[in-house]
Amino acid sequence: MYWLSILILTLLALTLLSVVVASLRTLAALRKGRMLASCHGYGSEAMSQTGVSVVVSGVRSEREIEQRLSSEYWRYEVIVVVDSTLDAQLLHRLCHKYSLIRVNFPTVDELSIDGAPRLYRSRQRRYRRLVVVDRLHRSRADDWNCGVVVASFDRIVPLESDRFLLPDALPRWVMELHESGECRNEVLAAQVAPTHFFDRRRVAMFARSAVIAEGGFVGEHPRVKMIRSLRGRLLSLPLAYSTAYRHRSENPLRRLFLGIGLAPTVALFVELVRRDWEGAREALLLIVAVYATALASSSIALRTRLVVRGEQGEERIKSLRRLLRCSFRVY
Amino acid sequence: MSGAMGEVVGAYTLALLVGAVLLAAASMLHARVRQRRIGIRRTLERCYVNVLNRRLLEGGSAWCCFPLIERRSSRLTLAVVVAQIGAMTYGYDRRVLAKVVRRYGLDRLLLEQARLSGGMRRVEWLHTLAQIECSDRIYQRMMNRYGRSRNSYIALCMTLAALNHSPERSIAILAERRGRLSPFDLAEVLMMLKRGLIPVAYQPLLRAEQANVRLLGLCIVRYFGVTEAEEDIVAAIATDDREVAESALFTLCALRLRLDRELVREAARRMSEGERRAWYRHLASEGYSSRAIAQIVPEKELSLLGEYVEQTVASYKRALMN
Repeated sequence: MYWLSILILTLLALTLLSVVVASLRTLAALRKGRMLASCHGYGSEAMSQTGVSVVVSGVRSEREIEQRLSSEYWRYEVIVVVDSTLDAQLLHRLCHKYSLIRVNFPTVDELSIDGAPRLYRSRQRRYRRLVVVDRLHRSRADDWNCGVVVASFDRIVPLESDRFLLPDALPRWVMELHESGECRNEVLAAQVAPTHFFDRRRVAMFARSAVIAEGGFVGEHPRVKMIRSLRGRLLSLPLAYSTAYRHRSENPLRRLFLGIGLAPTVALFVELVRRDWEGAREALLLIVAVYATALASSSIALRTRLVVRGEQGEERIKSLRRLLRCSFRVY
Repeated sequence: MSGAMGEVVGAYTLALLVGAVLLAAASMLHARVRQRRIGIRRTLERCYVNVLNRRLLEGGSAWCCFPLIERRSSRLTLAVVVAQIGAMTYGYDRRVLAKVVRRYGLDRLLLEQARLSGGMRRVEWLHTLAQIECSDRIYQRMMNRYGRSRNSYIALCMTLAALNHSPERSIAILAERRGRLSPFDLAEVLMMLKRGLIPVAYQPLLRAEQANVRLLGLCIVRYFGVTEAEEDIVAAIATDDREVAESALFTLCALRLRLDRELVREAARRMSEGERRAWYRHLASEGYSSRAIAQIVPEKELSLLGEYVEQTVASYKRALMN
């Protein structure tokens, strides 16, 4: 029991420390974002030498495409991979809405792709950033590989249909890329909102050449596998959000505390069976300690969330800029 | 478990419980106070923008009165508004804004605020300070304190401040700067140089020895679409500096200039195959024809990459119709 207490206390202290560090890092990333938003050069054409191709697999409706085309970054394209055998009407609707025409598919030996994908692009200049690929859906990884082959830019952001980039995501990614040297960052991973501490959901920007060198995306969790195999770093802020419903039981911190709390609970039962009331009281105290740590972590999470919400709701610089633009129309 | 360990666990639990409750309460209170502060700041910003607009329209002759200006936070808000207006109007009528800065001591206030803050907040205040017209004394103090900072953002702020303070020395300032300018830095420098000083003399920049100055020159040429700089861009491709050479190639494509030159072919030969393919794709997306691209493909690869280039270009050309 003595060693169990020491072990649990150590685990709790480490968890609390990690939560504090994660909170500080999130707040620092947030402050950096605020500072960058106030810079006029941020996201301007001058800093857009790096092109980004966003590859989306499994799109079900046009609305999902509209949101992705709305980024203000200069050099990017959206490659949407659909399967007309699953929903023939979708491709028909897309062709009609975006005036798509079939174009040549560059057959290259960089990555092997099954089947014969059909490539569509818009005749209208305003949709020049859209590329639609029609192919038989085998797996998400296969769709992303097809997107990598089609991509015209050297940075790839693979996405699922339920994940969307935040408005500032692309300039921020490119900014972080230049900050630590482009060649050293084969991958730049970020979090997915709504985020919890220790959340393992990621969205990432990969170097196209690195993905090709690794032989493309493979497996059940292709993004995670690729992130692990490439050199890069993780940004402590969410750059995408997910519309998929998540039950609160999926909160990793909650799971962690439930796991840690299991040992003293078992110990409590053992002590009760042995009728060792002193031991039972101490096991109970340990359970309370676990819950107290969980409460403290929640308080830190609450503080971080309130600051994040305050920052996001504030949009001080942006609103000031809008106000100034309106004001200076009188000149 | 020994009694001592029980006491330790008890103390830990009690401390955490108290800490958690206090932190939660403080967070809620802070959020509420912050909300109120933001509301006040927004109102003040709107008011200050109107007052400064009126003053700018009347050429600085009107008496201007800023509400609640005796407060430190209000003066900081005024400083942010002045910096933003200066950036929005590209330095139009700097005299009026400089008068406001002098009268309320905004430069000294911002420097003090930067000194009291840390991390990115400090950068934020220094960036604001770099945008406004500060006095010589404050400029010197800022340079003495932060001029040798290793933080890249603070170094950028100091460069911007120097450019704002003595725009006539801009080339020298950039030449003396330690460390390479990133694309973001270049974008910020370009925004600063736009302030009544659109640099049309791109040639000295492109022919300079220093990489930072050449990068800025290429950035300007690209930004303003100066096709007359063709020869200098091509000369920049031949430099040993990889970053400058890449930027020059990028500029050449961005301006849709002729590619069939020996230096361009040489640059293509220097690239790895992956880089070359990426560059061909880039050229295709910029609207070059397959024939134009084929002229720079090394002969031994023509059979291998010819079809690739042809198909890639064809796919992009179709997209450019209409």
